[in-house]
Amino acid sequence: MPTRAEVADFEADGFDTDAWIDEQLKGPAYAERVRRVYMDLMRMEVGANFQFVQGSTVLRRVKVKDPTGKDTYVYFRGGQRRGRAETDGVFCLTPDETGLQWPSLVEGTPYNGGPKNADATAWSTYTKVVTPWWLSGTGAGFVLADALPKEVDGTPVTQIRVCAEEAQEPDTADVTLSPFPPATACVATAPPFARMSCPPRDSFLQSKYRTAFTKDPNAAKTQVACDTATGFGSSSLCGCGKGLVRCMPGAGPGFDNVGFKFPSRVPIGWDAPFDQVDQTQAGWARMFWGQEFIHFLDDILTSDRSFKEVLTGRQGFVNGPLAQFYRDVAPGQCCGNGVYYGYNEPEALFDATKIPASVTPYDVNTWTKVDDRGPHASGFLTMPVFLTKYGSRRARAHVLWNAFACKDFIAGNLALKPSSEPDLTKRDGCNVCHATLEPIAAYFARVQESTWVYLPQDKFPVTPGKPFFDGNPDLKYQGCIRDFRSPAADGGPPPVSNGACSNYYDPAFTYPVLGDAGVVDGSTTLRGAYASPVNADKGPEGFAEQLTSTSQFESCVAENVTSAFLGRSLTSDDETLKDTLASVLANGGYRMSELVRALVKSDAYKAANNLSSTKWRDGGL
Amino acid sequence: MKRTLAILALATASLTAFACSKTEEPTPVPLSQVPGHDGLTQDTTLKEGPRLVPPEAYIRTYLTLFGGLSPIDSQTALRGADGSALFDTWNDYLSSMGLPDYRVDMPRGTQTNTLMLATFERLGVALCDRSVERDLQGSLPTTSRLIFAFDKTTPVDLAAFTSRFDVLHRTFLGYPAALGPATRTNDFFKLYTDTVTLHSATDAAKSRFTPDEAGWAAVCYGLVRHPEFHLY
Repeated sequence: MPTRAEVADFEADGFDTDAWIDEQLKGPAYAERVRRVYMDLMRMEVGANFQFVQGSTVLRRVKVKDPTGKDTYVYFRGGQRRGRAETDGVFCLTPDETGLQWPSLVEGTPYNGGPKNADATAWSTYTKVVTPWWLSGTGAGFVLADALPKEVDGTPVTQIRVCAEEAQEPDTADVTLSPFPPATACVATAPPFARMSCPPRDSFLQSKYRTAFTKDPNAAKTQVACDTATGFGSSSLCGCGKGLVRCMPGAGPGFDNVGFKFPSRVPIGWDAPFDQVDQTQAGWARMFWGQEFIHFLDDILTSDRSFKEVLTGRQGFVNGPLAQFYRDVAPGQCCGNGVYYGYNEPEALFDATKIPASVTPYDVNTWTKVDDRGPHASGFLTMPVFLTKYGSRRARAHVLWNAFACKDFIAGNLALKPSSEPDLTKRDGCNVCHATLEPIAAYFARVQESTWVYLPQDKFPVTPGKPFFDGNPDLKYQGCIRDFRSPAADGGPPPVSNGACSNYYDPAFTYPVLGDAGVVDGSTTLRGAYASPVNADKGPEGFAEQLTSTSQFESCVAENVTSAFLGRSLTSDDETLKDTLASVLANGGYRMSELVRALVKSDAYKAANNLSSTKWRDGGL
Repeated sequence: MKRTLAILALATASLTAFACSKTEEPTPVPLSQVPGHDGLTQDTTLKEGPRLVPPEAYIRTYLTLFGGLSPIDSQTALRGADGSALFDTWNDYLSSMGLPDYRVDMPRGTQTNTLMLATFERLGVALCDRSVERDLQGSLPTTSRLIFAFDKTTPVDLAAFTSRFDVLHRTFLGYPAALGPATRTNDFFKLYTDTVTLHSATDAAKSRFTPDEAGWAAVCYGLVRHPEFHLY
């Protein structure tokens, strides 16, 4: 609503409407108006139904009595590898040392007459006092949850006590061996050491090292990056880093505890919150994933650059929490069973080394532009908010097809028949949509579902043959591709599908390869890539290129923006207007301001509310 | 059967004779000259009703009208310390105002509904009442008043009301009152005087406002719940 001053300006002689419109197309209100069009289309915020609670990141705390009997919080990571079988994977002090047992995700429960004062030797050996990152600096907007910077008795703290393994600082460390020998049996209902669960066994890398170590005690040790899930699960020498910077705090022992105070919703901007409430570290990350998209989009609009960059741009924006996320937290999704493929450290979608070192976790309200996020970055298609909001390859393809091609997938009126055809581009009934959808979804085959882990081509070829797997002893014995030349080749069962294979390659698309002399090889297919191996290798940036390279792009942008501004769906009567605006956009270097200027000056926009309230009440007559 | 046919033949002969004797041959005329058959212009242009102001724009306008406070500060001020329960919290109203919640894929509300109108009403009353307290009950100079940006004068006749109403009209509806429907100013003047009369009665219910303040508050209520404040 215009202010009284703006109304007075409008009444004044010589008011230049065109100049006024031009001025409006430069400001944040313009960016917000256009952004709202695409937010309504894609709803680019992630809610609590996406649980971002990764083991290597979440720091919980439990209450124990220190050697003097004072109730004290001790922070730890669930799943932390430790040197003692008594505590490997769980809290770092035993029931005998604290008088408490440690069920998962709750405070300790009394054990053997406990709780008791902690054993002094164990206390000094297995816990340390550190100054954590969240108590080391301040910044506007950086506010901790009320309970976090306080001790049990409510007194403020400047340092915290944390398990010794978590306090370790190295960025890389040697793989260590599980302290619970592989041959030792463990009954889940009666674990040893008064534990509540059996100690963890060797991870893949630990097992591999154990084999080498058994043969040669001087065998070279594998190094792992401590910011990855691989490092977290394979080395008791990996901690939370200097100042615990790789870990996010929570004021409790639960699944995801409150750590920060920030707005729950910011519908009119981060600078105009409606509340300030204690929320979790997962909420902290999700909030700024959404804000990253907003800053990215607003920058394109306010700097009046090509709207194609929404899909193709490699630039990005980070504030302090996002910088910390990309540097220290995001790698924690990697690498799972990728270790079988030699994939121990992620090839990131956002190269965190591009973030200026001056950005600290406390710079919540300050956003810094990163000119180039890296070779795999492509608009918002490679941002966490998109990749988690639309977790599956098909969901990602579908929403983009809707929002940027203005096309939908409508099932045909067909009776579906039972079918064993795994190829949905061919299966009767399914192929009506999937013949289009599957090749598009293939563009996202190299970004794992519900996360941002990129699968590089050299480690994960799209259609590897048997020699690829046979060349890697770690995979050879997993049976990713059976020998199709064996007697069981014809009509035999699919290849063994344990996690090392089936997490990445699809047993349904594993075939014999025929040569002149019959079967000469077997071949399998990267998950999600079967419909178009070419698209899979092009990646999200390939899809961005495809979407923006046809006239459908400008037509769809014109349709979406016009529909939003007119407040109704477009009809066949609007085709001329849409085509005109699409041309204006294309001829104007795809700058959105050109389209909006033409739109607000159009007769259709001026007449968009041509039914007066009086006529409206009379039925529109 | 023979008897029936004979009667029918007789009746037909009689009717034919009557018709031939009374009917004249009509003069042919073009169809367009037959009343009701002339050309009618059909208006096929699209008729569109006004659109709902996006809740984001509504909130921004509301905050501007309330003095440019942040949502949290405005919430504190709107709630006040008088226990009047004029306002709850912004979060209580966001969904019913039609604001989308992208986190849970709740879409934007594009049509009004009863709950939305009730919310607008509650927000509007809070805005008006707190503005009366600040602008009319306080000692702010006229230039510092946000809503009732005019000098108080009593009694208010139509001329005095007209100029003051124009200030409010511009504030809430974004254009001069003179451009509105011809009876609008008079209608609102009646609302004002009726309210003043009601509040001046000896048996009037106890109010925080003087009759004049109550009159201006009523005018404010009328504008803040006006469709043109919510639609465009």
